[in-house]
Amino acid sequence: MLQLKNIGKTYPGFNLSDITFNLEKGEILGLVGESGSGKSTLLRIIAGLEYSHSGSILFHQEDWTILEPQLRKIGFVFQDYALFPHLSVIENITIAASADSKKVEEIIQIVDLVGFQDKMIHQLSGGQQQRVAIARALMMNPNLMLLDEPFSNLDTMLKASVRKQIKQILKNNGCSSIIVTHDLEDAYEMADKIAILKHGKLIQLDTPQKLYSDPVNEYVAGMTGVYSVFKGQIIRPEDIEVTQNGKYKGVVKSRAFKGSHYQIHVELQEDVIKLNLGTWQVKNEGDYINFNIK
Amino acid sequence: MFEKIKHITLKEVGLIVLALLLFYPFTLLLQAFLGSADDSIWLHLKQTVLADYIYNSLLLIFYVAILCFFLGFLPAWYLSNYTFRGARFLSWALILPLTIPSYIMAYAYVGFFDLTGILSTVLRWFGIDGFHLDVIQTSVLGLVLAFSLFPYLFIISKAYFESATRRYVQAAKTLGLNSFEIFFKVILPLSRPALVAGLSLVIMELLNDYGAVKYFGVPTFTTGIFKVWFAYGDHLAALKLAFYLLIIALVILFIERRSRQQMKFTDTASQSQVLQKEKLPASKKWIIIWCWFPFVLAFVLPLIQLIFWALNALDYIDYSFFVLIWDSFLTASVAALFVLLIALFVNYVARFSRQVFLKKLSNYLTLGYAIPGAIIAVCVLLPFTKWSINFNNFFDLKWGLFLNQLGFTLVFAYLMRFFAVGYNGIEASMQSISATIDDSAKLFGFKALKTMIKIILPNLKPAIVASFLMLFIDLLKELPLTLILRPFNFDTLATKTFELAGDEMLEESAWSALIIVGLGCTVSFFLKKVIKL
Repeated sequence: MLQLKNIGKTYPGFNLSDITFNLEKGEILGLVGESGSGKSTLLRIIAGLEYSHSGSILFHQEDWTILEPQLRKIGFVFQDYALFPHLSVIENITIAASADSKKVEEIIQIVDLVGFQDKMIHQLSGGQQQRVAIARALMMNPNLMLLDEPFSNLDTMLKASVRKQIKQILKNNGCSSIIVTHDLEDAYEMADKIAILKHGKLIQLDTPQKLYSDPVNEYVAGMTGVYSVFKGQIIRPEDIEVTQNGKYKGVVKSRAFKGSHYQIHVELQEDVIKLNLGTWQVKNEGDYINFNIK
Repeated sequence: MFEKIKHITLKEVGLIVLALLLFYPFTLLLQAFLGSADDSIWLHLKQTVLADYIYNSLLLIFYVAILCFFLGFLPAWYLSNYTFRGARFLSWALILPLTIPSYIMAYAYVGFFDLTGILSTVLRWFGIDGFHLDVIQTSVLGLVLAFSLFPYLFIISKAYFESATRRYVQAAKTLGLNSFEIFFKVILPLSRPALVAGLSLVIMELLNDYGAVKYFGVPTFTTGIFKVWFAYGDHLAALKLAFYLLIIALVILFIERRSRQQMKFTDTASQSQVLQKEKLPASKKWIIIWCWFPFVLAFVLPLIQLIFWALNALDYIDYSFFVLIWDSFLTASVAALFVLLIALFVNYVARFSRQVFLKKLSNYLTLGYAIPGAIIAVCVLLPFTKWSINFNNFFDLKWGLFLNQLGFTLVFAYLMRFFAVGYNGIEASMQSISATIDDSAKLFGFKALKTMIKIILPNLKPAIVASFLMLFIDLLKELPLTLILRPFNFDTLATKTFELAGDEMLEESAWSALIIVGLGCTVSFFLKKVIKL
C-alpha cells in the first residue's frame, strides 16, 4: 500500500501542501487538476525524481521519502513517452531490465506490439509509441505505475480504444497505478478513485460516482461535470425535472445549446438563475417553465 | 545557498576551474588598464596614433555595414520571397564567401587589379597594355572585407525572413501596399533586430581581422596591438590597447544579444502554416542579377584569381607543401577535437547539474567568440610564458617556454576564441532531447555519465559532426592567434599564405589559400547535408 502523509513542496509562486492519501494494491488513482495545480510535481515526488520539502511517503511501510528513484522500482510513463530515439522497440523495452526472453515476449504480447520489435521509434504511430513506453515500464516489474498525461498526444478516436487497452493491462498487471490527467473522461474511465487538486491542495478524493454526486464545492462540481447552483445547492442536469406540476415556476429568458445539455437563464419571481438542462427537456426562449429539484 | 554549494560534485568543480582558467587571462587587461599611466609608449600612442586606430576602425565599420546591407540583407530578402531559376543554389552559394578568409580576399582583389592580375592580362590580349588600378585604399579594404563578411548578415536575415515575415507581407498586400511600401514600412522595421544581430556579427569579425588590414596598411586596433607588442616590445601598452578594443567588442556583443532577444519577440505570427514563395514577376528580373552579383564578386572572381596564380606557381608544390598541409590539418583537427570535447563536457555538466549558476556560467564561456583574436593572444601569452618559467624554476629544469613551444598556449587560445562554435551547436541539439529522457534513465538506475554515454551522445551524432566540421574550418582559416602563438618554426596554411603574400609572393601563396578555400567549400557542402543549411 502506498501512503502519502502531509507531502509539501514550495517553489517561487507555487505551493504543494499537505497532500495525504492512501492507495491500495491494484487500485488506479486519477489525479485531476488544471495546469499548475501540482499534479505532475506530486507524481515526480512519488517517483523520486524530486524530493518533497515536508511529509513522508511510505510503500508497504518502507520509507520512500528520500529513497533514490531507481530503488523504488517504479514504472513511469511520461507525457512525451521519453523513448530513446536511437534505439529500436525491443532495445527500448529491455534497456534496463535483464529479463529473460520469455518475459519480453509476454510483455510484447500484452501491449500488442508483436511484429514491431525491430522498428525504430520514429516508425511507430502515437498509440504504438505509448504502448512501447508502457511495455518498458512493465518490464521493471514495477511496484507502482505512474502515468503522466498518457493520452494527451493521442487523437480522440485513438484515445478511446487505447484507454480501454491500458486499463486492461494495468489491471492484469495487478500493481497500483496513478494517472495524471486534466481530462475528466480519462479519469472516469480508468480510475477507481479520483483526487482533485487545485493550486497545490487536495480538494477531494473519492470514487468517481461519489465525486459526481457529492462534490464538496463548486470547483469539484465543475471539474467533474455540468452543474447548476440552485438555492445554494449544487445540482446536476438530471436533478432537474421539468414538469407541469413543478414546484418552481419561471420564464426562459435565453437558451444556448452546449452539446450534452442546454444552458438556460430562467427568470423566477425573485431573480434570474442559470440552469443546465438535459437535452430531452428542451425549452424555447419565452416559454414558461415549471420544474422540481430531485 | 551554502547548503546547495556543499553538495557540489567533482564534475561541477571541473567546470568552475575551467571557467576560471578561461576568464583569468582577461583580468590582465584590467590590471594593465588600471596600471601605471606613465608608460612612455602608451603616452606616445595616445598622442599620435590612437585617434587613427579609432577613426579607421569606425570608418571600416561604416563602409562594411552599408555594403553588407546591399550584399547580404537584400539578397536574403529576395531569396526568401521569390523563386527563380538558381534561387536554391544561391541560397547556399551566398554562404560560400565565408570560406575565403578576408586576408585571402584582400590578396586576390589587389592582385586582380594589379599589373600581373587577371584584368590586366585579359586587357593585354586586347592590346591594352600596362593597365592597372591602385586599390590599396581604405574604401576598397571596406569592400573586400564586406565581400568576405556579408554571409553572416545573409544567414541571420534569411533565417529570420523565412520564419517570420512572409505572413506580414501577405497581410500588407491585402491592405494595398506596393512592394516598395511593404519593404520600407513593414519589413525593414520588423527585421531591424535581425539586421542589427547580423551586422554585429560582421563587426565583431571585422574587429578581429588582422591579415587584410595589415596588407592594406590601414592602422587599426588589431594592427596596433601587434605593432606595440612585437615592434616596440611593450606588453603593457599592447594590453591597454587591447582593453579598449575589448570594450568596443563587448558593447557590440551586448547589442547583438539584445537584438537576438528582440527577434524572438517580434516574431508573433503563427508558424503552423508554411507559405509558398512567390514566382519572380517579369518586371523584377533585375533581382536575379542582384542576387548573383555578390556570389560572383565575393567568390567566383577571387577564386579565379587564386587559380590563375596557382597555375603559374606549379613549382611551389613540393614535399614541404604537403608537410604544411598535414601540419595544418593535424593542428585544426586536434584543436577542433579538444574544443569539441570541452564543449561536450560543459554541456554535460550544465545539463545534469542542479546548480543553476553553472548553467549561466557555461553560457558566459561562449563570450570569447566576440573577442578579437589579437586580444586573446596577448592575454594568453603572458600567463603561459610565466607558468613555463615558474615550472622550470620550481623543478630546476631547462625546458624553456615549453607550454608555448608544445602548442598548449595556442590550443588554449583556440579554446577561448572558438568554444562558442562547439558549445552552441551541441547545446541546441541537446536541448531538443527532452529532459524526461534523463528522468526516465534515472528511474532505470542510470547515473548521469551513463545516461550521457548511452542515451544522449548517440542522439547528438549529427550535432557533433557539424560542430567538428565548423570548428575545423574556423581553425584552419584562423590567422591572428596562430600568428602570435604558434610554436617557433611552425607554419599553418593560413600563416604561410599571410607570410608569402606579405613578401609579395602572391602566386606561391595561392596554393595554400586554395587549399583553405577548397576545404571550406567541402565542409559547407557536408554541413548542408548534415544540418540542412
